[in-house]
Amino acid sequence: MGRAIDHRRSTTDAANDGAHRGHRVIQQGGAMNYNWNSAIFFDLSPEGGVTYTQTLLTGLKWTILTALCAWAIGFSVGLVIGVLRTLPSKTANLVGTVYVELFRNVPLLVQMFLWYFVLPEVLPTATGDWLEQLPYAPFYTGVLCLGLFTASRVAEQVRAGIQALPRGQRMAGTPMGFTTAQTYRYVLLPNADRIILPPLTSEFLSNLKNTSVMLTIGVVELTAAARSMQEFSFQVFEAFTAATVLYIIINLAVVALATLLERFIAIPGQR
Amino acid sequence: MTATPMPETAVTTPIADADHAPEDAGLRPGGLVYGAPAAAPGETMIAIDGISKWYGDFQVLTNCTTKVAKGEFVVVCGPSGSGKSTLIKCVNALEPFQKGQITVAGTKVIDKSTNLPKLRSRVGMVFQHFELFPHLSITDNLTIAQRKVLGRSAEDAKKRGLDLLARVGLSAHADKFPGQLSGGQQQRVAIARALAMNPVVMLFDEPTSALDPEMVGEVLDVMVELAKEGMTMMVVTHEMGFARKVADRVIFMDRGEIVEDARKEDFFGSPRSERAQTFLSKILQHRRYGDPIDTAALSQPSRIRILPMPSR
Repeated sequence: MGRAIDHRRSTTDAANDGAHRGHRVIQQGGAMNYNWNSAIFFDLSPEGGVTYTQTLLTGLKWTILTALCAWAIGFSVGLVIGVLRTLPSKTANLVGTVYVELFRNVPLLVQMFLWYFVLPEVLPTATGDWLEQLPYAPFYTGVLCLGLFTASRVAEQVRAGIQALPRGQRMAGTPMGFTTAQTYRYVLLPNADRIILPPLTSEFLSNLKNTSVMLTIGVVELTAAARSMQEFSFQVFEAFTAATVLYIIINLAVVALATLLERFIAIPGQR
Repeated sequence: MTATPMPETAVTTPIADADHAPEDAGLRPGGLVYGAPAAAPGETMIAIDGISKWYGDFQVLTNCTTKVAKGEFVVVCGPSGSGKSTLIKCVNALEPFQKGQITVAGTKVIDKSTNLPKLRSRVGMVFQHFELFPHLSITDNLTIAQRKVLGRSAEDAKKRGLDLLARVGLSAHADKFPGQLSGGQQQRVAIARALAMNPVVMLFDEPTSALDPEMVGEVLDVMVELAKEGMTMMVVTHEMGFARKVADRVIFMDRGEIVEDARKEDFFGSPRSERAQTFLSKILQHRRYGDPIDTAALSQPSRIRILPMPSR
């Protein structure tokens, strides 16, 4: 542990020095504290036969996979919880409210630790052992944790979207003979979803970036991969510059897709 | 009134054909049952029996009782806040009420054995703000409830929907979306959408109040047509000229009570209550500025005074 802290201090110092001196530092090579080395990406990492680039790309793959799985949980659970909070039933409201306040008011990092370190201890021994020995246990735990956390945030967006609809729209489905479920399915949700697509895009981006918290329970996603590259190569600038660029590229791609989707589902004659 | 868009020659299917309802028309045994003909002319279609409604401590409806016979055109009027919209929304239980009972075509509205969605599907409702489904094309607006609620096939639903769209003179707009139509056009689509369900009764909640003046006529025309075909209608409206022309009966409400329930001749000729007189005189005062004063109306043996505009 002590070593790790020392190490972080040293890299921070290096970064500070670099920042003070600007890009000259990088160009002058040997005369400075930091030595930018573009070739590092093609060096083999000590992890066995792969280059650092491959390490980062594998991390990226896990980031994307985790984000998609967590989103699948977050979106579907969030949709249900959000709807519960808009139903006329008091019980449904209460269930929805308790869920949202529980999951959005505890830091994601704490939730991660609760699911990964505390839950197996609380469960019956056999179940707990089974959980811990599961292959990819950190991945499953992390996806579930992030998914349920994201769900609480999606739920609020869904609720806001439904409540933003004019009261008459709910009124319009009912006299046609729609049941409550049908009113939601055919009238309220299609309209609410269009309203909340922009904030939902932000939510997806947060979800994608939040996958980095999973490095704390041992999932080697992009941030963890960058960290491992830095620890083996001591090239902290290269490692985290690469991670930054990859995060930005992937997020911009999401934004572009969302814009297309927004155009695709736009209703003719509105706005 | 603007020119009616309805082609006179295209009268193939009547707009209203509650009597030719599909086999699933039944609301429940004993009521407008499984394919059985709806009430015969003159029979009661809507019976409102002593209903009262409260919002918390505030009473919005007080012991309202009236009946609407099959084929009757009843106008509900009254000052704003008098409970007329609330009353009409109680008929299909869109608004719950705490006392009394409403029976629609033999089916009790407040009754555990009543399938409310099914009852509602046969009570057409038209709103002030149209309330079309904004994300669906006009065709889909006309067909979705037919398919999902009545279980009709996509083809049957589409055929009936487009038929009715033609009847309200909007065939050219089948593939458009509600946001691309004018208010008057949207309201005509809303009427067609309600009719597509083969309603036994049609309720109108201020159908022209949100329209630009030049569009009011086209919507009223459709309603007149509907009345001619014998549809049972209950209409909340401020269009007193229209009521005078088309209504069979007028219900006047004030402060949650039915103050007057009379044949239109009696209501417009000699309203009994002072409240109705005040209401009518206020409404009829609203001549367009510069219109000639209807001296003939002034000499009518009516107790309503039509005041001339103040001269400037």
